[in-house]
Amino acid sequence: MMAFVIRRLLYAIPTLFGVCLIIFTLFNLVGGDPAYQMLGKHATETQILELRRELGLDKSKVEQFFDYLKSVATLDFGRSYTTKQQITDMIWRGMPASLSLAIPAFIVEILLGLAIALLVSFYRGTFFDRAVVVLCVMGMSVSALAYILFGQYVFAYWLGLFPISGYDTDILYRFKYIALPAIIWVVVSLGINVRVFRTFVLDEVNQDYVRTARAKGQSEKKILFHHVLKNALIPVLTYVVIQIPVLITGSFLLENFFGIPGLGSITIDAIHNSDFPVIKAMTTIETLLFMVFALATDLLYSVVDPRVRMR
Amino acid sequence: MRYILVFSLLALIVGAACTPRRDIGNTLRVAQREKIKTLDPAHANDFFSGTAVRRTYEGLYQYHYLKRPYEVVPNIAAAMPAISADGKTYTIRLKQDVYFQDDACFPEGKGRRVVAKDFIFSWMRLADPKTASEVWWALDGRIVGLNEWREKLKQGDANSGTSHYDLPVEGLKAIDDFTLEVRLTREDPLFIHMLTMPATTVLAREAAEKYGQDLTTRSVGTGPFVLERFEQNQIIWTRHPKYRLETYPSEGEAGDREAGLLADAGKPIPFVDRIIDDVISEDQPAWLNFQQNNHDYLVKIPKDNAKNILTDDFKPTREVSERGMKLLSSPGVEFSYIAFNQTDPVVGGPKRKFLRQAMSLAYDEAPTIGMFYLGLGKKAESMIPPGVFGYDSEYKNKYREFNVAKAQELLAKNGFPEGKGLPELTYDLRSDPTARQVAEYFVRSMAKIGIRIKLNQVSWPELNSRIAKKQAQVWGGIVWVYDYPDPENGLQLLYGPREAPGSNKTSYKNPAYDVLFEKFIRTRDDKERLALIKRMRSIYEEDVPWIVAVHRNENRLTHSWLHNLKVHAFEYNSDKYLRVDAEARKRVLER
Repeated sequence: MMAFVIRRLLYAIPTLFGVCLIIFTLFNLVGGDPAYQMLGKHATETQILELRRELGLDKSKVEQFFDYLKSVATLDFGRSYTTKQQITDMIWRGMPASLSLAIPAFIVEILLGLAIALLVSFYRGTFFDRAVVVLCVMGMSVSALAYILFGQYVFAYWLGLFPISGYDTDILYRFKYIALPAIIWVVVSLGINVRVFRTFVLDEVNQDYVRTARAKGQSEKKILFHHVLKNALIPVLTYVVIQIPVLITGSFLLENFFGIPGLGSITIDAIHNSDFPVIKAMTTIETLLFMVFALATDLLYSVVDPRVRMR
Repeated sequence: MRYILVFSLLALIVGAACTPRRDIGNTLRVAQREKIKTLDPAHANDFFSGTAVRRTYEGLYQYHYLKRPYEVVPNIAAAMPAISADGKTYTIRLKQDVYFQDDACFPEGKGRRVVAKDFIFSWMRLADPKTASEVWWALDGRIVGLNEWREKLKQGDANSGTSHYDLPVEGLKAIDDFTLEVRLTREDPLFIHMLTMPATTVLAREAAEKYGQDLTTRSVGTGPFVLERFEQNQIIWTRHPKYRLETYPSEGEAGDREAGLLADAGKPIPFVDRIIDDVISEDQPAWLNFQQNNHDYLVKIPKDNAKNILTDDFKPTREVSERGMKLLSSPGVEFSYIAFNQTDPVVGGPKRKFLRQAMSLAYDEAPTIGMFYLGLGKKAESMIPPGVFGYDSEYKNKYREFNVAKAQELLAKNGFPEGKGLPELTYDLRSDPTARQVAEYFVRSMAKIGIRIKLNQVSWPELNSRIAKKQAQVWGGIVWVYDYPDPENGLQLLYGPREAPGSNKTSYKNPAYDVLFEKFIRTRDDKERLALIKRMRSIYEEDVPWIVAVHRNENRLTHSWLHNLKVHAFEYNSDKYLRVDAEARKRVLER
């Protein structure tokens, strides 16, 4: 097991290097020059040159790339070009907001999706199953933006059930602000989750062990919830754990529309302002989290299914 | 499990709905339409950051809140400056009752009195290359010795052991604690405007030394409000308890008294105890929050909801009027344009003058005001907008009339009859719906005279880079917002030595124009200035380095309980004049 973990961690190095290279190349191709962006409309040639020197943008691209790698290795991303705030502070301040929205929404989204998937699998082939699948497809076809606009207008403005937007550091008040975006998150994700989970469950339903259980006279309910669910958990686990890094780095649209000061809106602002230190911090963190959770998924396989051994 | 899930969802909804609404009392609630990037005066280079900075930092001068044309009046200064006969030396007396807000950076946490040396420090900090200020341009080249001091620091020339801020700057002298003498490098009628800007406000050296770059989220000013909390989505300010006695203006322009804008004349300001800035960048939540009475006024009318606010003939709708909401709209001090890169071989330079004239004539501006700006704007004829000295409402630019026949004639004169022989042009624009709509309309207009245009939509930073590097050929969807109400701020945009990446983004060069501009910036006599403006105007009208498009209006939507709001293009700290009738608001909220 330990050898497996070490090997996977070593694999992470070239992966991270590749991601850094892609981000660096993309930023230099389409990101614009931060000096022009920062100095604004009155910038003079001299001021631009000075600022470029100050930011290290006058160095060769290779040197700049190595500076980038150094900041990734030390996890010291410095200050934002735009806000001049320490990026680590920005991240620590933004993360609770992103997680306040993401954690409850994600848990409900997964549990509800799994419950509905089991239910429709139980009634597979019936009108109920087909109706749910059609509803899921319809739900998936509607843009998340439409749900946001509709939800905000109907439930927050018209019915007055929720605040229209905002966020509070006080947890009691925060709850009312994150309720509506969390529900919209669940609704937006539900269609795809039910379809995916239903497929995972149905893949198991045709396995030999299910026929054996039926031959032994076990009830359909017991087969589904006791045997099938347990075996379907491996793909479910992969699907779920791999989404966790995205939760941490925030939901761009929801945070923007509901005024939640999370990491999603920080990233969007950084892209708009050509704020490379923030962009590289966010992409690096997301990549690292992705790799950590991918490893965690593999390790969890052995917990869920004792037949799986890490080598 | 199903029961648990259903219960959780219900609990979420009920809990959200039942959380009590906090009493907000005499609080002004504002929807800021963009994030506040910084609270540091040396970095505040956009309207929203400037507004936040001026809540808490003050400068020597400010613009009169009600008078138009805009008039500079004292703020921390006790009076207008005494200017020497050669126009180069300003002697400024300071008020003696101005105190910094209490803060841990001062001994025993007590804010001290502001003295002349504080301004010297603040301006040196702006010039300090380490500050890397985006607004250094406000003082760049203006004060004797300040640029030299900056150069010394760049070369690491400062005396070791002595803070470089203790080194003298020849043109900055504290005669005594309350008298500041500033010597300018040349006669500079614009200098007074620089002293109204957020960049030149006063900052305590103790604060700069203690907080350094963290001043981006902190503030230690002298202004009417003290920062209580700074979050990405919300900023809260409370009244400065030791704010000196400042009063609401007693004079205004014609119509202000009738509009109730002088009802509070002579009363101490600020009126509100607290300000809550909610950052709401999206249109729908901004508009819904305003309708739900969560904000007292709204900056920028949400275009997507315009039909709820304005009728087809651009008047407030019945619902808006019935609810006591008011639409305040006045000409913005700005102009939008479509620019031609003057270094581009296809559209730039004197050889392609007729081509640019033809394009200007073929572009019918009138319908765009209704289509893209909610009817709240005015077709631009020149770079000088209403409200700025030199604006002439009678003036008609001969290449801004809509005349397709004449356009075709000029196109042929330039060797491109019906657009034949002219390569497809590239029009750069940023990713923005209005910019896209304007661009599409431009493409359609040019197609009528046979000119083919390809759109190149890029991010805002990339567009900036392309323009600065002279890579863009034609570009649009950009607005020049005046930094101060003087025509120089517009006219300098075509001054040759400031070519891209400087403020002359089109890199227009005409020696005759440059000579006139250089004379203009040294001239104080209004009659002479006006004559120079007309001569410069006739030059750029003929050369068409850009198509001046629209002067958009500045718009505010307010509720009936908010008083004293008058749209002001330069007074960032208008909120100190606003009064909220908290009782009236409470009655509406309880309905």
